[in-house]
Amino acid sequence: MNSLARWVFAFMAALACAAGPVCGGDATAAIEARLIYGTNADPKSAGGAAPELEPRLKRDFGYKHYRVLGEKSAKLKEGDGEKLELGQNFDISVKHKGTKKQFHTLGIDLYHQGKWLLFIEVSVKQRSEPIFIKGPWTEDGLLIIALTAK
Amino acid sequence: MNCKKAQIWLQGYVDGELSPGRMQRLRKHMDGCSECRGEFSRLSQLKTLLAENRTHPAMEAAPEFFWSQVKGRIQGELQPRRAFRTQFSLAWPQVFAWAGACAVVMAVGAVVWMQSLPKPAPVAVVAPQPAEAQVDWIVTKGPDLYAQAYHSKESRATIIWTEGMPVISLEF
Repeated sequence: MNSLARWVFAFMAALACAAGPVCGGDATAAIEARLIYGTNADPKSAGGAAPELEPRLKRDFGYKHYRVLGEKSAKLKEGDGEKLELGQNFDISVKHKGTKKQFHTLGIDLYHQGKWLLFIEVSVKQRSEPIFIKGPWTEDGLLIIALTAK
Repeated sequence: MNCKKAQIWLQGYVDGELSPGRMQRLRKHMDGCSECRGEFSRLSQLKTLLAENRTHPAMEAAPEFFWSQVKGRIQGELQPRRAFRTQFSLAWPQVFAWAGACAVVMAVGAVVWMQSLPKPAPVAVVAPQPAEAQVDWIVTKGPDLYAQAYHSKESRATIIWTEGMPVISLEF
């Protein structure tokens, strides 16, 4: 009987462990924002590489090289908001507006030098495909804001 | 008729092979010759004994006897027919064995043939793809900044394409 009770306990524990991340994912939206510099000149000193996003960025924007100039992430529960400074005077403000069918509705404002540029409302799921916002032009390339739900 | 000629005709007389004229002349001689009558008596008894003993079957059955050999050859010719019938009656298991072997060969051939046929395209097992991000609203600071959202099929990313963003200088 003790053996059976152990097995039942182990099963319940395994079930709880398996269900934990799902339940947690439903309650919290983890979002990662990156300011990426795309250019044809190789800016090795400009920042870190973005290997997981670079193939996608090349397909959509066509530049040869992509460097991460700034990176911030936030875990937001429903009703929470957070401002993320990405560098180069770019900020984004993210607010968790609600959850519907495992999709988190996020309101995102983009600022440059404190001036509001645009607002988007998106619905993302855990490990959703990334969102690329085409940002300002630079002398040698383009700035891209990449938003990824983790 | 003398006795020498009479004894030559005696065997034919006993066997009934003499002509009636010779039989009459031989009877006249034996009426007056006791020696020839005695010879006729011995030959008759011998014929009777031979007829009673019937040694022919035993002789025919002997392997060296001509008819025995002929009979044996005839039976030898007939024997293959009997053997054929016997083999035919006992060949059914072999027939089934051959039929089974042929069926196996045909089955293997069919499998090989089916393997050579063009196979249908395998159904791709698609791993669960990440969900697309849905853009519900876009609001820009003014009419000089235009933004549009679309889904890139190539990168599977959601793109918010803007026009009218300011040109800036990066600070490294």
